[in-house]
Amino acid sequence: MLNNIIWKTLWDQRRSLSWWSIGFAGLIISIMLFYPFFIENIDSYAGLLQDASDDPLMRIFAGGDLLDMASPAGFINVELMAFMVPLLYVAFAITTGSAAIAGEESRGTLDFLLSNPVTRRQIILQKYGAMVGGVVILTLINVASFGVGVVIVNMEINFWRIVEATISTGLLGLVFGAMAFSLGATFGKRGVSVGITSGVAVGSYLLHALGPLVDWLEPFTKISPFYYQDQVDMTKAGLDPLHTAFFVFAGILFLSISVVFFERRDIGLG
Amino acid sequence: MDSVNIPVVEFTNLTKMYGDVIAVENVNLEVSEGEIFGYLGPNGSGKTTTIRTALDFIRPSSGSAAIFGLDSRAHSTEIKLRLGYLPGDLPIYEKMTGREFLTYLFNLRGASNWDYVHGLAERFDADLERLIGKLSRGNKQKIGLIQAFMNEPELIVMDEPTSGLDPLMQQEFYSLVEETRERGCTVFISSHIVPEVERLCDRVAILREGTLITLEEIRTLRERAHHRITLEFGEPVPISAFSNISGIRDVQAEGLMLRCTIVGSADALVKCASQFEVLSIQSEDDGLEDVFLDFYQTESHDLAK
Ligand SMILES: Nc1ncnc2c1ncn2[C@@H]1O[C@H](COP(=O)(O)OP(=O)(O)OP(=O)(O)O)[C@@H](O)[C@H]1O
Ligand SMILES: [Mg+2]
Repeated sequence: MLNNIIWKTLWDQRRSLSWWSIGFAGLIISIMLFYPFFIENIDSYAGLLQDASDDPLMRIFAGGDLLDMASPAGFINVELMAFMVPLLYVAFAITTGSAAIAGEESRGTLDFLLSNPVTRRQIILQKYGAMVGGVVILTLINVASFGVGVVIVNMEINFWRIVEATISTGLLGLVFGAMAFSLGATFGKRGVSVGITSGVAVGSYLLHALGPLVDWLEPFTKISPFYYQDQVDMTKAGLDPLHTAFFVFAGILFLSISVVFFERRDIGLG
Repeated sequence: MDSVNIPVVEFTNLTKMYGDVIAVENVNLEVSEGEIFGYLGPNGSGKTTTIRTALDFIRPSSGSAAIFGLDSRAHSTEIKLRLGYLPGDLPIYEKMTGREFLTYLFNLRGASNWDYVHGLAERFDADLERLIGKLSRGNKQKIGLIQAFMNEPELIVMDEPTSGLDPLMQQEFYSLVEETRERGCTVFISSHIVPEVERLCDRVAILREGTLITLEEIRTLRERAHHRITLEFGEPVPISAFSNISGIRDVQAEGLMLRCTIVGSADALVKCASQFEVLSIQSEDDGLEDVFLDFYQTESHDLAK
């Protein structure tokens, strides 16, 4: 396990990764288990959903198509993919991304790591790889949790559409992780990295949620990464290539920024 | 191995500024293969900054550092393959055990001799099974020392290596350094402990406020050592006869006794005393402590002469 920076970093995170996995799995499975009760009482929710769907404030916390909530895909989107799952992914990715360089630097161990025969570029690439690895692990956990949920409540749905939406949401989280990573690599301060990235994440979420309801905001919704997240969609197969390309491009952009600035600057002693 | 002519460590006009503050200014020095080199100076004089610049953790504002004849920025990785480093305040991974930590570094460095690591751990009686964060300061320092020596590097750079070690472990450390030198390793030590420097080092540089104020062999510095001398005469002697001797200080006469401190050679004092009847001479050596204190305290322009 302890033979390179990627494995070592994931190994360091073994406890926190377990807790995140439990959190994700607990959330997904319990919401899925709630589905049959929801369908049973769908009539009593109908009015509520209609009102909520017209209320801008409700739109902040319940994205997705509220009127389509009776369908399995609609339920999963409103309850999980539109808010909670992206929120957890983004929170995990920001935490991990800012810890990668800035966290190690504020503990004073980055300096020591550099006394070993690894280049700064390798440190960036491997730390970034570990962050991606963490998101991949959680995505596997999430897909498995959805699988468990689908089987238990016997939901009629093409499981691949859920897998695609989970991957897309993981990529969305990764973009914010990459941003936190690059701020940490550039400035070496964890607070700066977490603060700025969380602010941007909240801002882009609100832009995405409220943009369609506010005329002058509408044209800007496309700069929000949330715009590019593919939710569960039964009408088309596969991830949207342009959306996915946006995420990959943003990830590579932040990685390049990290390499360039990290190679130039002084490492702090914490 | 490189040719013996290439210095293992070479600083050329090395300067590091933090904003407007000059932490290290125009340092020039060379350390040759097999040397044990002491890098001294008061707190905040720029020792750690020099070391961190030389190892490419921070970048020189001007000038350069070369290690094994390789530029420290351009050839950082090649240098580090052949280097052992012990940072000043060891911030090593608290949540790993000593064994995990050493295994990780062993792999990162592509080291091959785990028996040697194991031997070092036994030698320092290090606890490898507990979390590093839970170890006492000295026990943590042992882990730091083991990793600095573990891949049998050609150069070991240590920032205050014995801080926290008990006297027994200090002795163990000194003999390890000496053995390591015997196999051709160069050692660069920053330290505040004068007897340690005196015992280990062949040569020292002293830094004050970022500027190198002296670069001498320990042997030469010993000549500047203070000797406390007590002379007993057959008759009372006039103090004035001694007060003009060069390097003499704190002259006191008390009955037949004359006490004074001499810096450097005692020749003039002995010759002056010989005009009287001398019954006995006692000399006590203070070691280099006072020599260093002089360097630390005196204004740097006084010493430049
Ligand atoms: N990151 C930094 N930013 C600003 N100033 C710094 C920084 N690091 C060090 N300095 C300043 O540079 C000077 C040299 O510090 P350095 O740590 O090199 O001293 P030192 O000789 O190692 O001291 P000590 O004996 O206490 O370890 C000090 O005045 C210190 O305040
Ligand atoms: Mg220091």
